[in-house]
Amino acid sequence: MSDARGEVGTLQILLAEAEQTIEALRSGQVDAVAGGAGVTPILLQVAQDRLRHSEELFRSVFDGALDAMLLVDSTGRCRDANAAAFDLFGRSRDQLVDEDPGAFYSADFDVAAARAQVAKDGRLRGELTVVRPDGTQRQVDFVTTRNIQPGLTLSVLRDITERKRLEAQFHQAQKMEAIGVLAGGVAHDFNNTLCVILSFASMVISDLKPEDPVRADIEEIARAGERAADLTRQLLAFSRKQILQPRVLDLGQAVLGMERMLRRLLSEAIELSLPTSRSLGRVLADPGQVEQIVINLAVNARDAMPGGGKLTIETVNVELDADYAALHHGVVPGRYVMLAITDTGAGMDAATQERMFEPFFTTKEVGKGTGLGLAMVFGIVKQSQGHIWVYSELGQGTTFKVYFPRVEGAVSATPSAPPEPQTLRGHETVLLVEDEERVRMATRTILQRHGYNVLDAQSGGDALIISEQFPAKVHLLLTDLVMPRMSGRQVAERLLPLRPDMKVLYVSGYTEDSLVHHGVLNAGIAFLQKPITPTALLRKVREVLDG
Amino acid sequence: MSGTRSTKGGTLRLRLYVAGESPNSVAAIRHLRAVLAGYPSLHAELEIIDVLKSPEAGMRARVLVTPTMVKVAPSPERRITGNLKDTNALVAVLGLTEAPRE
Repeated sequence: MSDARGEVGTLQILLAEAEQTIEALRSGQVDAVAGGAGVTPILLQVAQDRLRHSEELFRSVFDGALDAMLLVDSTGRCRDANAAAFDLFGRSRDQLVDEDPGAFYSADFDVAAARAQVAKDGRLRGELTVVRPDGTQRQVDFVTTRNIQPGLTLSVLRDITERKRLEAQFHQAQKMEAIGVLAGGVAHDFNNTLCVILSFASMVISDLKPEDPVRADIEEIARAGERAADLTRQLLAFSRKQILQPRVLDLGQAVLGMERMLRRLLSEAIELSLPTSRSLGRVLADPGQVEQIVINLAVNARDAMPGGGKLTIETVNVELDADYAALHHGVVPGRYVMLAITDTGAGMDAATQERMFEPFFTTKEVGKGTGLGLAMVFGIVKQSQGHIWVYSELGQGTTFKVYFPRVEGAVSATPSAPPEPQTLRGHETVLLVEDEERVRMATRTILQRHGYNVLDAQSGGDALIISEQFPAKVHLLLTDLVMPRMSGRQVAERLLPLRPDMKVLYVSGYTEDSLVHHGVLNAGIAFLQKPITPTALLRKVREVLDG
Repeated sequence: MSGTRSTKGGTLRLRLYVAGESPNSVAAIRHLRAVLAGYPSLHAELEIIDVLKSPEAGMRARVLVTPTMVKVAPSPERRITGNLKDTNALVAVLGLTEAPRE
């Protein structure tokens, strides 16, 4: 009885619950109905919605990704690819989907080995090169994951071509910096030695009678010394230790001013054109150095076109934006004037382009070039806060693009060349300060032989004492700039208040001094750059004394 | 303060099956918590189960619609469907004899 009553009670409860459920359904208190025969499988619907949602999510990630994505089946066929992949591979959907992407990688990538690796480890990361239909190559970093969906591997490929290029540029810049330091050091030591050779050769020559049989030999020594001095100057230019005297320039006018010289330099078979713009911006550069750049690049262009061709030297305003700067190491975005020198010659291969700015690298025959031309151009451009890039294709020609930052201001008047001194001799008193003994001796002898009264000091301190003890007028302070303890500039600062009429002439082979800011000389300072030939010294001394 | 009494047999164990944050599910949670809060001396364990996250749990308990509250213990098992706004019905299912005084 009690059992039966219990069952009835249970049934009543179940019935009550069923009625309550129906009431809840009827009055809209229910969210979802699930399972059971005849009941709409809403949960199934929900599950399908969730699946669809996650597929949509995958789709939007796949389609919107900046990285290229490929879904590849077990036979190696591409089943799907995103827009970034079409860009990366340079192919349309039809040219990529259903194809084997392994066919579009460079030959050094072992597709079979990579697939085996993915099958074994489930995942593979590495680098490879994509070859586009037009032959251009893109370097990519990739990750391949197996079974992203049943039977499909997903490869994500990131284009790192630009990053690689920047890295290479950075390494190149570092290498050039290191070579520059080395070359600068060599040139510095060489300067003093050359100074002595040239001075004594010149003195011996002036002692010899014109008919003396030794004279020709000594003259040969002097000429060799001059050539060595030239090389040293070029090395200094490359290592950016040359002292620049920049002025505000119109590059276009500067190039036009060189037209006659350029025509002499080039063969008749080379057509020269010098387009420029009337509203060309101004730049701050050393005119002599700009000339060096143009001549060196023009000579290179000429040598690349032995059978004739066309040489264009163009000057034009350009704006280098952040995008450009991001792709070119060391470039600050801004307004520049570009000097572009284009030839229609042989062009350069990649290996040559990589090394062309290195000193002593040359593709010319032995004895034809020093390998310093482009090195010097590179140094001058860098020291002028400029940039240089080359675009070259074998058989097509080469363009060098040199960018100088634009500046405001009127073009500086070209200072007239100082009149040639009537004589190289003088009678004035010169206070000579030079820490290098051999150089001091050579300089003193040269000056004395030309009539000057020379007081020589081996340091700034010595110079102060000598000046104090010398009762008469000192006409000229001739001092090395870079000396231990007291610099040439400090010597001048101490002596000028005591001897206000004294003229000052600085000598240096080096830019690292407070007188020059980053190798740029303040205007109005008389300066001689080592290595100095005796004639250059005597001429400059006269010029300063007479000025 | 009299008039409250918990069910016999100790802990009240409840499972509330909901469908995510659907309005009736949210309301059911709110109504149930409010009722339980009215019985401070009551020892109740409430487990809320989202059938969207674990549909199998709903299937196992034969919950056909949500929200559904199942009183698991003390026996007998009772269930109530809907958003539980009918407090009297809820209290009856829970086996609480009297509603708390306001």
